[in-house]
Amino acid sequence: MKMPDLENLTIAGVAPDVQRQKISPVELTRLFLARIERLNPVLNAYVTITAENALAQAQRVEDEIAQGYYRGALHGIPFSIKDNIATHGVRTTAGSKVLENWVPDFDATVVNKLKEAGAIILGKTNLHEWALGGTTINPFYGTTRNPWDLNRIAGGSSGGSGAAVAASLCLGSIGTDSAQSVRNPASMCGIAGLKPTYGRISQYGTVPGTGAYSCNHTGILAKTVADTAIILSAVAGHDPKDPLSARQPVAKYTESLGKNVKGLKVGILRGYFEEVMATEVKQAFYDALAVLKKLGLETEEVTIPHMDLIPAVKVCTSRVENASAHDHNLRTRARDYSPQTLYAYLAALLVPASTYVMAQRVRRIICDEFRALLERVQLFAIPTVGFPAPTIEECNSGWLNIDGKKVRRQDARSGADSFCAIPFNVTGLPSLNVCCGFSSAATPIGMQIAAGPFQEDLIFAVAHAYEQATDWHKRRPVLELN
Amino acid sequence: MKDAVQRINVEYALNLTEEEIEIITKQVEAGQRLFQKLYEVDVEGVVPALKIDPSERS
Repeated sequence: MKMPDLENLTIAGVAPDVQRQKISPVELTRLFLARIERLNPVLNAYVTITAENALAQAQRVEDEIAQGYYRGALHGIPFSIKDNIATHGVRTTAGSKVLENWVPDFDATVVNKLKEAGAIILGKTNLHEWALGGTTINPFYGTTRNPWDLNRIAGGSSGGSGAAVAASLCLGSIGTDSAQSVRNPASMCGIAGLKPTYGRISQYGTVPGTGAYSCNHTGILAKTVADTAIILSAVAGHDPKDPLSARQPVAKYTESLGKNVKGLKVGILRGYFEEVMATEVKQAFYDALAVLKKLGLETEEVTIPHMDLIPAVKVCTSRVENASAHDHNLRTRARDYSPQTLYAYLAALLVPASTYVMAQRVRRIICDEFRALLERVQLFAIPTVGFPAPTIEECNSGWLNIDGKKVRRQDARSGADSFCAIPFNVTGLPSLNVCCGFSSAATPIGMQIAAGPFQEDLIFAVAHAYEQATDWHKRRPVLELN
Repeated sequence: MKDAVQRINVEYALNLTEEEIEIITKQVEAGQRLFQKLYEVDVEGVVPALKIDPSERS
């Protein structure tokens, strides 16, 4: 049996060795658990580690493979799950005090699909309280630290998932994204992160009130675009338990890797998000566009007439829908919320119903405007976050330093870190983060590649071509611990 | 707007402090200013983006 180098391991790389029984799922699981035991006390990526279950699961899949029953590329692959996604028999907190002792008696559909594919669940990852924020500075379960710089945040709300993948504490993770929550930590941790088309992955089993209804998505974090495509192939599809899930057939996403991307037109999105964009992020993005052009893609700057209203639509719809889901707890356990979260939900209770409906009408206009753009271009590109991972201290102070200017981390439009991501939550269009450079502080910078509804295959083709032309995704954080 | 927050305080039995009521009131007002821009859009004939696929209904 081979001893894998965990830091450079990918799903695409290890799966053939698992299939040929050159690598043992039990041994692989033991190695990951040992690494988690060593690094998690510092990173705080996991809130619950399911070592016993994982080893039992690993033994089962190893026996299956030995008997010649190989299920596919996720068979024997160690995963983590964001802790707002229900896991049978395993505590699921949603990063909240309210659910600190909740142990679901069912699996979310996405977890069930992973288990059916033979994946091994190592544990549950930390998140922003109720997934309502982008820092994963959690008052109940602690702060998740960025593997590239322990003084910085890992992003959020799926910060634990981002840190776990980047620090090689698992090979893939499932998160949720209602404003940025998969792509933001993927960007800040230097990995791939996919928010697929609305409804592409079932949300059955996602804790209500952690992302609302109109703009939430189940998403994927992994080291590479290829791994993300492998995972999406396993977890996408219609789910009768989720009335919001889509009926579109699931493509063979890995077949899009390596496809010719010459001649594709990319719209470079312009809009309100540029007011909080650091120079070094712009530079890394422009350099990435130059790579895309070398690959034969054409670019043009695009925008929509109502771009500036996207934050208002997003905040109005999500806050009101979330507050509705929290109504019972607000009446009975209000002091089990952090003050910041409590105040946000109480304020949302006072948004008039007519304003909510108006936001949904404007949302329709915005979706139509994006649809019109997609007749001119096939893809969109935009930085994922306007600035590299801020320090934990900056986030706690409420102020960021962008190019020497003090900028509020959060205003009525929500966190400045979400501004670039939310156009794709409001429209439901698929969007994927790839690492496109590093800051002067040696922390990752990310770029989003987005496309029309259910065109994840197109995104994978372009993002994979970009990864093959660069080596940002091959860099690993150096975790030197005393 | 402070009155509305105080009504929520009573209805939900929250025991909010005066300082907390102020914070929430300011958030509500900031939201109102943000959402006001939505009313400047001509939405004549525009149906909200709420859709239930008929095939999902039993």
